[in-house]
Amino acid sequence: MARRIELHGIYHSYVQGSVRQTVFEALSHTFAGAGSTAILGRSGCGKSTLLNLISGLDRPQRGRIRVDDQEITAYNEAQLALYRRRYVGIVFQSFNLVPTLSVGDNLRLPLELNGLPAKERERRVAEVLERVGLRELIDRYPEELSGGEQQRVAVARSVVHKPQLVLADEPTGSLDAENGTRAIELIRDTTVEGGHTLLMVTHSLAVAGYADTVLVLDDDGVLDEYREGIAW
Amino acid sequence: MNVLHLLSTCLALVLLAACGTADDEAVTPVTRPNALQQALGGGGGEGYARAETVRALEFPRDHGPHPRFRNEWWYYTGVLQTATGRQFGFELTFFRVALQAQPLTGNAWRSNQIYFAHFAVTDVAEARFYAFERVSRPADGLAGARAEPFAVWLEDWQVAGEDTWALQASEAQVSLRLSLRPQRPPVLNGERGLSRKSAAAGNASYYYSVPRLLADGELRVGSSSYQLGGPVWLDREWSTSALGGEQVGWDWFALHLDDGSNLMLYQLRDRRGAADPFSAGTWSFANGEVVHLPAGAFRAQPRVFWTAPDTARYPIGWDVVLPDYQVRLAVRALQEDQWLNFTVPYWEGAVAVTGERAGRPLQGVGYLELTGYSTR
Amino acid sequence: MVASLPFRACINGLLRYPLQAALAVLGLALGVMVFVAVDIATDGAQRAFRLSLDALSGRATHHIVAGAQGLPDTLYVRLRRELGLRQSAPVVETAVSYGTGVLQVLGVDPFAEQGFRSYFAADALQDNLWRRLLLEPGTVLIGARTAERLGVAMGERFTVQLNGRDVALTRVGTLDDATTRGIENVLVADIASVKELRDQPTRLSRIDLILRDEDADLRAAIEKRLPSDARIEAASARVRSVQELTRAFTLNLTAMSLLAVVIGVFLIYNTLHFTILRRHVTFATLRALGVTRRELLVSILLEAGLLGALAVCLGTLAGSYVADSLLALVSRTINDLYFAVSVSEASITGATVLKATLLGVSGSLLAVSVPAGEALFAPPAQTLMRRPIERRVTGWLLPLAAAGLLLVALSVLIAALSAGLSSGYAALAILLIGCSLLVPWSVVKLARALRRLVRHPMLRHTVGGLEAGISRIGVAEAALVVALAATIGVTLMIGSFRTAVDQWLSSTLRADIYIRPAQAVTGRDETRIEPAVIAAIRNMPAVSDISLGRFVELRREGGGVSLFAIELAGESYAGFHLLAERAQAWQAFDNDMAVFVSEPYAFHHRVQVGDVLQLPTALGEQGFAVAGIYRDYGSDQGVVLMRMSLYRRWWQDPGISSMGVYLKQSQDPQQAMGDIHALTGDVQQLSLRSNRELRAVSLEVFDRTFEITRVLRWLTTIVAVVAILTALSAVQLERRRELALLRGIGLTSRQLAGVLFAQTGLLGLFAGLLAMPVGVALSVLLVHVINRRAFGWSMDFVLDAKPLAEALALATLVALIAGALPVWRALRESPALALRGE
Repeated sequence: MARRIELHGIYHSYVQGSVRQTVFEALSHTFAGAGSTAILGRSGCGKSTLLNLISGLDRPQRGRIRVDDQEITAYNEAQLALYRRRYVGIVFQSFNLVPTLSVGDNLRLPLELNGLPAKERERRVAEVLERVGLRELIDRYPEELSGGEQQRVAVARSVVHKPQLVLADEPTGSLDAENGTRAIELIRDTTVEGGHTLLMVTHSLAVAGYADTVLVLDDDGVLDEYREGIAW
Repeated sequence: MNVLHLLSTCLALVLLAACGTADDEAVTPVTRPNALQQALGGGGGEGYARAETVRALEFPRDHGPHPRFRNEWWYYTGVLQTATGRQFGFELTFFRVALQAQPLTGNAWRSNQIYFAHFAVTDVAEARFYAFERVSRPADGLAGARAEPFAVWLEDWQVAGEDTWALQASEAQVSLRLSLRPQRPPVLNGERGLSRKSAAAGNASYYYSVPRLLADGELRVGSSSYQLGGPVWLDREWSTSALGGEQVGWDWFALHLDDGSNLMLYQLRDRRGAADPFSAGTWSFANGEVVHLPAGAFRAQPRVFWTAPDTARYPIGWDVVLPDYQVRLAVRALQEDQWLNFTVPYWEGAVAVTGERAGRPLQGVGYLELTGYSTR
Repeated sequence: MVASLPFRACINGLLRYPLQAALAVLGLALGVMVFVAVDIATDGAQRAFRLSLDALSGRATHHIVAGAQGLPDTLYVRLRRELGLRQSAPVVETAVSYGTGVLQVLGVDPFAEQGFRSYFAADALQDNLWRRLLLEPGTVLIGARTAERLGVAMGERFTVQLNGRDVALTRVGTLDDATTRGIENVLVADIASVKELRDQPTRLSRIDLILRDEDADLRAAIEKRLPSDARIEAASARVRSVQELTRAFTLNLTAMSLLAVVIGVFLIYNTLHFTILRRHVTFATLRALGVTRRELLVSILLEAGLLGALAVCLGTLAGSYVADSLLALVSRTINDLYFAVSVSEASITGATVLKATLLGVSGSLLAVSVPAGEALFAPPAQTLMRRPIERRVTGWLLPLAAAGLLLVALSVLIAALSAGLSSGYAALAILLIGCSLLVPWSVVKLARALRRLVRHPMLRHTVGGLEAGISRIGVAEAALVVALAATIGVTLMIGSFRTAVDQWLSSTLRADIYIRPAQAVTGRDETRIEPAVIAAIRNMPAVSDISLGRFVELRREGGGVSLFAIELAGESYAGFHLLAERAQAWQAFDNDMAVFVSEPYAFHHRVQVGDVLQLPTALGEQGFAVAGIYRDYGSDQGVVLMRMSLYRRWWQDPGISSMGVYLKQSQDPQQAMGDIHALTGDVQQLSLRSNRELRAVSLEVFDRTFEITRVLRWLTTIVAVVAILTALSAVQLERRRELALLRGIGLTSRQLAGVLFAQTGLLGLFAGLLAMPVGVALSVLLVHVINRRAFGWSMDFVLDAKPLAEALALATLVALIAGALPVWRALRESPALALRGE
């Protein structure tokens, strides 16, 4: 299963206050093959926007995005939602667990959206919680967890429905060093074990080091191979 | 004929029917004779005049009402024929009943008298029977009776006139108009018009008949109209109380015979169905001769029976024998169903008569009234 | 289908703010309660009347009716004797007073009743019932319930008053309550008994008929025999005329109750808006996980629908309880103004529940649609990245205000150009909506103006907070303004109305003493003063002059006409204020075939001076010229005024229903009333009222009429209080961090409370200030448009400062009370916890 993410001539900008910020002028890039890729970049360079464009949470003003055989830039809102629920798992910097659902329900949510039968859902939830080592927290609510625990739940949620693609946006950004390390190791291990393609963005070289491939996104919105000593 | 008991029962039930339910079909079964009796003001009849002595009946004065007596009626029946011989029977009866002896003052609508009337037509050829009932109070001329000029009426049903009486009644699709011409003076039944009904003094009525009025006129049934004529029988009776405690009903015959004579018989029945010794009859002849028949002078045997929808069994065919006169008559209903399904049901209908007198054939038509059979 | 987890995620989010949710439900439930109660009460009163009409009409399809004199007995006799019309029943009706209540007395002929009514229980044949009913005067049947309420035992004699006389009746039987619903307070007697009670021994009130459509020939034959003032009327027409009679009254009540619902919907909007904003991140997360917009929308709508349904349930339940007390008010007013109706109970109908459900649920769905759209169309990526959602805080205020201004203009246009009552209400509704749209902008303007005035940084912060919070508070503020404006508007309208009525009474009531037969039933045609009584009073030495009046209801196609025939004393003329008249109007009135009509009559029947009125007289249809239109607040249906001699000539009716007595100089009315009582007591009992008393009683009736309006006004205000409470507590929740920050930089609790109370107090003050012009506008609309179109009354608008000041005080007080809870909560919360975030 070849996972290919093709970006063709992406132009994207947004308005902040009264100033239009251009993020990408004409970004083209192809991520090919399985394994993990990290994109290094400074705050505000457009890393998160890139992930949002690939997850379909945001749309480029111009250009095309293909994920495998899916031209997601041609999708409407509902199609994008279906693409996300089947194809993509996301880990956010701020965890973004649904505060009104328990840990278990947060994990069941993607499974239910994908229409898995109840029995299978329970099996997978148990399995993935086992893997992230939080089995006993299944009935807790997010606000009752520590930050590290929340991010581990978020990681579990991103893979529980076995997506092709896991996108991680500064997964360690809200965690201390120790918890950050645990989280990134967990992300790497679970995606490798599950055979998911991982694409993460981070400003930390240390975090990026966990990926098979490291790219750099510069402030002009240009993507390039990471080379030792590069200024990014 | 004596219809006291019928009337007694009728009045209360007619009231009930008029008031108790607006549903034409639903009739209140009454199983409380005491209440009925009470509703009629008790059995005593205090303050009323009574038929106790023979008194001279005068006409037209006595054609009019006698409000001091409790009950009174004008009873017209007859079997009429069209020119082609098609037969129709009819009955038009006006009843007057006093609720109490004392007349009432106050509003004109306040009255101690009630009138009600029955109108029935038998269409023999079509085997149809039409019967209607009306009740009213004698307020503002809604109903009433008077001697001069004679009239008895209830709303638009009436008989009125001096020398010739005009009879008219119509309801729904049936309408009858006749002019009635008396042939002879009235025939006084019983003892010069005093007709005793039981051994008790005062249990009697004043009773006369005009047995053969010559009628001609028009009957409409639906969209058809018939010119017809024939003899009509008028029975007039008033009283305060008549039947004894054991008497439950009667069978009454009013027959126009083809020798020009008119035969009236009534047979009072007791609870066991036996004929009462106060049964009697009157036989009047074309030449004016009148023969009074005591109970022993005739025998009437029921022969043909018909069961009404209310399960009462009516003897609608009789064999009548007057042994002293060598008369044998078979009286048969012209049709079975001439049942008046009013609140107190009775059977009253046109009959045909065949038979002989002293070996010579004797035929005729007439009316038969059967009361006291209903189980209701 | 809704996936269960996304929905649970939604509803749990709402349930995190149980107080907000509860208040929203409470507010809407209150609105629904008011609506349901009003609906039950008005419907119940009408239904009770319809039921009793039905019960009294039985199966009759038509009635033969005539004017004041009724029908001659002979007509009935002719129908029966000449047409053999069996499907006809004579009816004589009257009303008697018993204690403080009114009993209808229905006289029927039991022999003609078959097919019409079924009053008589099957087991009624007891204790000589029939004999007594037919033979004994004054014997009646009473329904078991009514008998029990009146405390009249079987066989008991009891005394009632008819036309100022005591009349003895005897209960001889029981009406079959089970089969004759609606026959409360009805006595049934033989027709002769009722005829003996009344003064007209040879007249019938009406003849009931059962006519089928195909009986056209029969109908024509009947019509040929009718006297000139009689006609055949469909039974349904009576019911219709009753509904017509109270239409404006019930419409007014319904409009008030709808206002309460609308404010309740404001509340739902407010709460859902708040909770949905709070859940933006949750919604974005769900969408990131692949929940579609439609699935989310369904969840949100379901949530709103559930809230609405809950509110409807509670409101309907509460409404059906409150309805009983409201019913008493409604039926009393209907009794005062329209017809005698006795409603002992009204139960909720399916129609009411349906209407309430539609209103409540669709209101909630409508309320949630705006915030739901806002939440769903916010780009999830930006929400998730905590990039501030672009809120052009001031951007939407101006367009909104402009739209509001347009609506106000539209409302004025509609009011000016249309003529109907419904369009009047439309103008009213549009005015309120327009004004409410203007509220947020106005609050910001007020806040800015205030901020310019104050220098103290803390105070500036206080005022600034209002401005910043306008997107939260705007709707609640608008709801409060609308409620207050309604209060002001209705109060001013009632005040203007009362002033007008008071002035009218003092100019109209000229006589010293007013007399009518002592009987609780007003407007009954057979109510008349005995001629001997009139003569006796006229000849009293203390009396200088008298005026006589005869009030009758004429029946004609399409409803009744109230005719008031008068023989005026010299002084009485000045009592009539002619609004429009032709030259020598009074001369025409006194000498020609001319009449005056009251203002409502002219309005309802579009009559102008110079028109000719066709009236059904006893001698046939007759034209009367309208010589003038006079002011009259006595009847909202309108009255035709005629001189007595003209009336007597055409209606052949010598009766007098009321008289006014003018005393000679320096005669004491109380003394004179005592003398009149002494003089006439043996002949007839009279109700005597001095000028002052009558005026007081009239105003009392007026005040009673508007009592229900007052109650509704308060209920509406309560809903608005709940609205502002919800909004304020929502704002304080929103600003937890900010408040914590303030405490963090060293504000004491007291200072913080001061800031918060100042803010809520200002909100109330602003609402009160804004409600003033809106309320005045509303009141002008009510006086000049609604009242005029509903009842045909014109009056001057009287601006009274008191209700305005009251509203201002009320608003401020309400806002302070509403602010107490959020303030208490804000103070109790540890700033550290609040700062840590959600």
